Amino acid sequence: MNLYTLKALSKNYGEGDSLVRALRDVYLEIPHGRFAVVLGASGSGKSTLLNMLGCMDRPTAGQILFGDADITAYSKREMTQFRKTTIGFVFQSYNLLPDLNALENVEFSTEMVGLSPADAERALVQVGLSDRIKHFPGQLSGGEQQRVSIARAIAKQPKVLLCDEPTGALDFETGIMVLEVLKQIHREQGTSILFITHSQEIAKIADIVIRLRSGEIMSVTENERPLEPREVEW
Amino acid sequence: MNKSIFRLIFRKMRHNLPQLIGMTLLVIVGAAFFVTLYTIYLSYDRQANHLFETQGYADVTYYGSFDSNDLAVVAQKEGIRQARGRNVRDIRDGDITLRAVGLTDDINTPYLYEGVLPEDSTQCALLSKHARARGIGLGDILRLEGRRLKVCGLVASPEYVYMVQNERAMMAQPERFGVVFVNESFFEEGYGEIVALGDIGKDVAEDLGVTIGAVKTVMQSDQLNKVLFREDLKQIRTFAYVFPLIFALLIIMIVYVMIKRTISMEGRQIGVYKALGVTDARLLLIYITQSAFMAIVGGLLGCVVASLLCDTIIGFFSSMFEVPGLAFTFYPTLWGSVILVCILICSFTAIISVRGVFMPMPAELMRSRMPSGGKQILMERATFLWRRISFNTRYALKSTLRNKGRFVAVLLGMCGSCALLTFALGFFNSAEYTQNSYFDDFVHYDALIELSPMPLEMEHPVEQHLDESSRALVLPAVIREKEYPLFVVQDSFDMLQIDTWRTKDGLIITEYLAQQWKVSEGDSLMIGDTEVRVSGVFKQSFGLSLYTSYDYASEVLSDFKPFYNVIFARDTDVGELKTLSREQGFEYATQEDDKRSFASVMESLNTLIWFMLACAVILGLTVLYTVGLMNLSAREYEYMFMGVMGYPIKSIMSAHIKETVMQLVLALPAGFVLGYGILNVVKTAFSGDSFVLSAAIYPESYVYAGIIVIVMAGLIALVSRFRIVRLDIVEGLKVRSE
Repeated sequence: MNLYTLKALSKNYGEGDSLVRALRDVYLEIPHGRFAVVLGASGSGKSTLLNMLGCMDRPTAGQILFGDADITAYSKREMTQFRKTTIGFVFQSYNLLPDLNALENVEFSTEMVGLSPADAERALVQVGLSDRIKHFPGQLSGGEQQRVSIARAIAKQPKVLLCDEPTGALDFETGIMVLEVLKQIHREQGTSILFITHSQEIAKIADIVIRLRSGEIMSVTENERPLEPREVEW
Repeated sequence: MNKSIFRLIFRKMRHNLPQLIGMTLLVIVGAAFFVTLYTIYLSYDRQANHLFETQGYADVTYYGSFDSNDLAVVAQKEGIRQARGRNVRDIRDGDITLRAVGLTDDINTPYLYEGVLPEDSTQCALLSKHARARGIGLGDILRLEGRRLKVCGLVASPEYVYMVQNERAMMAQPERFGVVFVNESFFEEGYGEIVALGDIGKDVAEDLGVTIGAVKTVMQSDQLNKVLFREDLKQIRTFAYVFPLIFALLIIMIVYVMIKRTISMEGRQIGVYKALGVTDARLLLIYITQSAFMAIVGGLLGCVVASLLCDTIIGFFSSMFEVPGLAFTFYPTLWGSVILVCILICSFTAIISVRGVFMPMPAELMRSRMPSGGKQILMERATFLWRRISFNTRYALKSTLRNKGRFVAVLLGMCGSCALLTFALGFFNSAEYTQNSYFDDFVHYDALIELSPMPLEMEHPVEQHLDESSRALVLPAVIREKEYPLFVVQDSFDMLQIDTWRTKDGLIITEYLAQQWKVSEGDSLMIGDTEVRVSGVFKQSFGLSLYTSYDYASEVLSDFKPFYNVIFARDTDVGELKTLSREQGFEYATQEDDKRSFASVMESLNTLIWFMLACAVILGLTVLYTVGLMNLSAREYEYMFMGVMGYPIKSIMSAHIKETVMQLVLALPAGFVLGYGILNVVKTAFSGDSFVLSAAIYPESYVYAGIIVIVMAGLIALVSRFRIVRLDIVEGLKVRSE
């Protein structure tokens, strides 16, 4: 059984003359336990696709099956529950809560699913931030903030990590560091990862590369030998 | 419950601290105002009732001339527990009237502050208020009708909780009127009054009065002392409600605007909460807790402030009421209710403001917002004018109208404080106007002489000493179960500003009474069982009375005798009246006496008005500060960017001040109108059967209210300048870019 199965998925914004078709009749299957990259230029519908997969938005038409569950038929409450327990999000702009420190940001997420503060701390150790746990987002560098964001996403042990250009706002070295963390999580915990990027180079670290253009799937290819983050350059 | 959520909430509160403090201050002032006045109202009510009960305030009093048989008849009546006979006599000594009251066991017993109650005819107990006013102490000697009485006790009385001398003098001057409690042996045989305790209906009591030949039967609830006391308590209660109502409206407005603004600024963050799986209920909790917490702290502190203020305010009221043992009382239910209402108001407003974030999906909230589209303002269409004004002014004009919520909030804040100030100052004006219109325009006599009834054709010796006078008969007229003074006047009567000619074929009544009874000229009224015609309506603000002519009274009133018992005197030497009153044994009151009585009543109200003025200023400052702060923090980035572009602080401030001026131009007139409206609503609460307040606001009050609001806005502009100067351009831009 696939992790996700998308059938005739479409998403439109606006109406009339200002209608934008962000996704057009997308059919896609994403298997379990893979590191998948969604590759596309700006405006190709990558983030829209990710939002649909994460129950962050509803499609205009079509169906998304998570396993065999139709998440497009979920009620608002079920969607919230799905995001809380199943999905871990990593955003390009980190989106940490500025009023909470690193540990508290992670705890905010773990507490909701009934995990202990130790789980939150463990996640921060895993992303290499054990010495910065009491720092507030304003006191952390971009890379550190992104690692807190990853810790927040993985601490609740989600089935899927949805990453929306997490290296987009980072310099090369920090970006590599973030990719290594994600790869390590994928390897050690077997978490399925969906990674959005516009970088052909970053796509080389993935198991599967889904190419998107103007809201349509152009190709789905498998990398025979995915590269390690240290092997890529952009 | 999720610990992190509360941690987040309290950190957010720390972030919004200045605004929250401003709003909490509003809640404190509103709650303190209400709790102070309501506590005073409850305390007076409770303590006075306690006094009435413990001192045996008579349930029914009969006035007339009685003997022991009459007393026995009353005592044996079913429902009467106890009855006593007593005498009451006003003894005039120059300017001072001392009312000698015979002591009666267990009924109308004076409350002892100091000393003992008189045991023989050489001793007396004096009403403490009068003793204080004249510096009389225990052991001093009082001379009454040539007798020397030693003051053995200083007392309060259930009959003089409200220091009322008679129907005309609403509040007697304590230095000129006092009550002396004496042993019954002070008086001759017989009784002038029978006082009784018991459960007896008004009709039964009145029938009993007829049986014993009473001139008048008055139930406890109709005693002037109690009626006026209740009316004043009602006014305090009205004040307690009116002002906090305005505070509540402003709090609702500020909480609404603040949360709306926060939500609009934190839209992305709310999207993140949702993306992480935060439910709507928890989302609501994040935003509602701040308001609820503020309401709890504000409400509680308001109650504490009230407890500190109560004794002082009660001290001010003591010139009006004499209720022993009165001090601040803690009413847990009142405190609880006030805090609950504060929580409900703030929380409900928060819910209304937050509800908009429940529907959108997280992705929608996290999407970058489009810059708000610029709109042309009306003035821009007047291109000729628009082009001629400077860029700075054009920017200020557009900025003022750019954000409707903030614009309305600032406008309402300024308008609200201006309205409260106008109302409070207008209240002073109304009292003065009412006094002037009554004493300068309505009243055309200098003194009112009260006599024993005399036939109209007989001349009273005092009239030989009066330059101008007019006789009249004052009768009690019972209309709709209440008693009013009916003046029967002569055809040539011109001592009051009334249409005397209208009295020929009916009664003329005051506008207030006409409204209360819903009658107008030409309608009829029932005085007891007699139907009378209303032949005119006139305006009178003080001592509401009815007027008719001797001819009409003879025509419609059964057993009417053409007597007179008052003389209105004009151009009279008051000094001579004093001597004559002693020689000829009559009572009199001058216009000055009435003015002083009125001034005493207003003095107590002035305390409330000053309290209200202080609150209005605090309110104005708080609202303007809070809204100004919101406005400023919303514009900080813009100002910082103007700084980056090289715009000097002076120009930024100039635009900021122009905005404030424009808001003031719109808010002040609206505030004046609103203030006048509030005054008109409140004045009805201050009008009763004995006094009608006319709403009037003098032009200088509008000017003062306007100046105070402008000064407050100026202070806030100074604070804003301080903050604008301190803006860190680089840090600010960094924050924004995140």
